[in-house]
Amino acid sequence: MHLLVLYLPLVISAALGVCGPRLSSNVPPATAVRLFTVGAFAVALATGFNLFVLAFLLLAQLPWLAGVGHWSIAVVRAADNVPPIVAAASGIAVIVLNIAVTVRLVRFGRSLWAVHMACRHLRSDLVVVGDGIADAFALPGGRILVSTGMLRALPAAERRVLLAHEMSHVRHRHYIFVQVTDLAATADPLLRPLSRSVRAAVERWADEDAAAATGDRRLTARAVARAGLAPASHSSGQPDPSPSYWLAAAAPRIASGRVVARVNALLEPPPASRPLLSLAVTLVVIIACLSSLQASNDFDTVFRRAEAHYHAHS
Amino acid sequence: MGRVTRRNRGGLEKEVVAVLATAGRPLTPSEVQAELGGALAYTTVMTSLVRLTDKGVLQRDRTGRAYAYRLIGDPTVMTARRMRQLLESGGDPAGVLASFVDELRPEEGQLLADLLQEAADPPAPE
Repeated sequence: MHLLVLYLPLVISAALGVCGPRLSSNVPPATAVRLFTVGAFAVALATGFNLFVLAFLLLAQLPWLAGVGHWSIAVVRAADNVPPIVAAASGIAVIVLNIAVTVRLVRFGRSLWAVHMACRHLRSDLVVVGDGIADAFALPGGRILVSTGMLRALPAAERRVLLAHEMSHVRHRHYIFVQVTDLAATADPLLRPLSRSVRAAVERWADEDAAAATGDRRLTARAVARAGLAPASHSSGQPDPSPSYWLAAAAPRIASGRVVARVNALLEPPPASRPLLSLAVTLVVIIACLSSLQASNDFDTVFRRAEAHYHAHS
Repeated sequence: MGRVTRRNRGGLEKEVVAVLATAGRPLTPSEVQAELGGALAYTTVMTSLVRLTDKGVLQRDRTGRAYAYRLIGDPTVMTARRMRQLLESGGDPAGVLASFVDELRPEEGQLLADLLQEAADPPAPE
């Protein structure tokens, strides 16, 4: 077996995990989301397959399994140049990661079901909920949920920004990109930083769409900033609270720090496309896939020989 | 003013619902038109109001000479908080919901307020 093609997708996973976040903020958000979702999915598949091969070469030398599979242990052992400890670690990883992916898929199904059940009786595509907390969501299925708290926090033009942002989520079905990348990161934990980047880029994509729809980046920046400052705790319904009130209400929270980055990005010109960077990432992903294909080829060759040897000597 | 295409109509209907929700009281078509910024034709606004009424989202009441439109039902049928609770308690383990803005770290509040100020001032002439 060519060890290089076996290890390469793992190395590429690690590289994407390390470099991906910075790369994703250097390309337009829409490109980043599409490129890294497809890339993460492909690299996770390639890595998963290679881990399986690494483990199976050792496993196949078990007499019981070789008997069932009708292949020669000797041939497999001769071709197996993977250190046993690596094979064992890979085997454990394959089992654990498969379980994790299954659990993740079940969770996704349950989320979709819960949203479906909660929205069953709603008639409108835009659902306004009477709640002092400023909140707005785009739901899978295309509904948009907005609280009266959010509507009251924003002046008319900025409400338009909010709607344009949520409709971008709906139109492009952003939740699918987020879920796929998260699933890839579950299957290949080295890709976890990429999954976080895609989640952030999805919001930037919707911001850029809102800025394009309203034609006013500064307005869009104001809307995001004001929504970020709006009370996330139950409001007493004060009309037009001062910014200091909002600061106090927003104070004790865990955060991801993306709102500031989003506002800053909107105060700058739209990000330029970087075709060379996108091409480089695409090539790296293709290399990972080709490595896996080659590994699959090698695997096939070894077991064909092993089977031939078994039948020739039985 | 361009014609409202089918793609735009969905967005307009959402804006109309938002306007009525914010107002908290029934509005006449002229009032809705004004709340939307006044750039849309009266007939465009009327069409959206009628469609929403047909869908059962709005209720039309006669007030004096004009009709006034309001959202049907109590908007607190489901609060956003209850939805989050429902989904957190075993409903959204996958995180399919993402809100418009994340919560802020304490030190970011002032930073954001400064940015809001900066975004409000007209940019200096080049």
